[in-house]
Amino acid sequence: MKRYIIIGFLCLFGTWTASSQTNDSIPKTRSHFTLAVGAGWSHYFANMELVPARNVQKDFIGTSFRFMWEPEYRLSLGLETGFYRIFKVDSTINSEYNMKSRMNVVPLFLVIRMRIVDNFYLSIAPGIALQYTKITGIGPEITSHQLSLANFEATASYLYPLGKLFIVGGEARYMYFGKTNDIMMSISAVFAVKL
Amino acid sequence: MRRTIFYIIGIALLMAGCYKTTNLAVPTAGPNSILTETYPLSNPSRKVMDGIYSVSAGNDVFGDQVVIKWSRKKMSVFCSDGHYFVFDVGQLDSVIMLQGYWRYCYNDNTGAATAYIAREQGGTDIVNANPHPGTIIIKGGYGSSGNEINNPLQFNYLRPISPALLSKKFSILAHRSGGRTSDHLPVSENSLAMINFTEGLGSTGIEIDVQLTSDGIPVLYHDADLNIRLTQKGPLSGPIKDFTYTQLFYLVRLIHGEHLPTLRDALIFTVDSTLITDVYLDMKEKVPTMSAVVPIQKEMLQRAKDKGRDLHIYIGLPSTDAINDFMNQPDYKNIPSLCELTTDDVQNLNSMVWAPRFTLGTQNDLVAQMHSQGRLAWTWTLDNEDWIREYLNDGHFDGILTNYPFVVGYYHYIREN
Repeated sequence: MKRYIIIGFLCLFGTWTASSQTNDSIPKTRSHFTLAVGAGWSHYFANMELVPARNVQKDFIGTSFRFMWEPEYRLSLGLETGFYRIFKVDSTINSEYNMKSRMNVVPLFLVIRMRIVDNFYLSIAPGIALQYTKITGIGPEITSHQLSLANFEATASYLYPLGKLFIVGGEARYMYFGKTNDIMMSISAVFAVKL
Repeated sequence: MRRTIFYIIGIALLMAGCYKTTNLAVPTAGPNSILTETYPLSNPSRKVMDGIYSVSAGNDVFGDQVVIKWSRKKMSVFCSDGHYFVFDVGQLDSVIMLQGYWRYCYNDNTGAATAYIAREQGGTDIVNANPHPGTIIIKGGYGSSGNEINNPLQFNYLRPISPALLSKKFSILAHRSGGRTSDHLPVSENSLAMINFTEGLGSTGIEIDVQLTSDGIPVLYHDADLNIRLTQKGPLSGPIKDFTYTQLFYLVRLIHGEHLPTLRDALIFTVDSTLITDVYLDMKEKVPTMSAVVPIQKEMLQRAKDKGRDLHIYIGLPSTDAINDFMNQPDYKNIPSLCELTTDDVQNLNSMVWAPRFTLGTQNDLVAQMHSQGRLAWTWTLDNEDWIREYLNDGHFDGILTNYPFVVGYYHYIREN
């Protein structure tokens, strides 16, 4: 199934690229690098079977950091990392333990971004993610981590240039972490600097 | 722009649909079962039913011959190509009633099945435990969805399972305590429920995966970390060795809702509640685990002995790390063990079982060498029908570890000797 999705994405971007060539072959910018910082609301689509949904806190503040190489054409390439809390669980177990569990994630995505129209971008990003789980209230406090190898991010961005050096905007982001089958989205404000 | 939004929504829907779970329901008899008014068969009666049968209705699906073999609670039918039946059986006025299901192991095909044996067609011989039944005709039907029965089924007794074959011990060892979760069985791998379930699939032994929790308790679990392949989605994730048993007990459920069992609980259940004769402890950890596992093995062997159970529990030695850990145990040469490495290692460790992987071939000369030293030889993990047939017919192993014990059962029991 994932293979078909990847092929689908490649076809999709191929189509966009091809259609863009006819009316947009003149470069609008020079090749440059940008460094972007984002922060905003993130939401976890809870799918836990063991804990009632009411015990799962799903909304947090997430941050992202993105370094992009933006050549003079529509496609750009970069790396993105960040810090997100996926969930926090506060649950009484067996009337005995007041258990608290939280999972944080630090992803590292390879971002492939395309300018669709002026100031509006779409990107897809496969990557890896380090997931941290911390548990307290039942036995000793334990922090565990694991590497998730099959992860995916899709982002829609509106980025408005402020002069020649700065960019501000907003991003909507969808993230999937394969190891734990966790899905989350975020909407964040972005501030970027051209290097 | 609209097209872009359409693509985004499409991508989001595709991603949300990536994770697919299959919950394959086993057809069950329910409260209106024909068996509710019947009485259980005695063990001698059950043995009368064991044998090789021809298939005169349903042979287009289940082949021309099947093996019928009773386990502790269930009557199983093993077919040549990966189909099998599991029946509950009772008798009323010398009529034998069967109710259960069939399953094809390589996909999700399954359905209900019912049958009966009339008095004059073997029912009386079975109830009277006549060891030489003139005829046994099992007539009934099977369905392909839900509990409906819409296809005829008939098995006709041909001969008993070869007494020469039964006189020699041959172990059919099922992987992951009896079967894999990924094969869509109704219970989870490495659970007490699976140990209870697997005898109906034809297993006479089990391999179980042993890991240590952070507080040093051996538990049954295959993978290194908690993941959605084996467990329900919960608040814990990460390597299993990071968590205490209390945390795992309360915050982790296997895919069908079972708790992670401790090794001790699993072996107590095996000793007390099954007729399993061989347990192969597959040590998954690279860290030393023997000092936690060996006392449990010793305690359970004594428990089995006290109960008059013919049960062997072997500590698996799959690597030099495990061997080094094992050799640190006092009097290790007298600890029942199973070595997967060379025959020299087997002799040095005085392992009772040599278990090479099947890809190394039948190795009849080395198997004969092990036999001459009074040791057993098992091979793992053999799932392909053609290989199973070849290893049974051309090899001399004393047991096969498999994910499909019913396939091994068919090709083993159908042999003449």
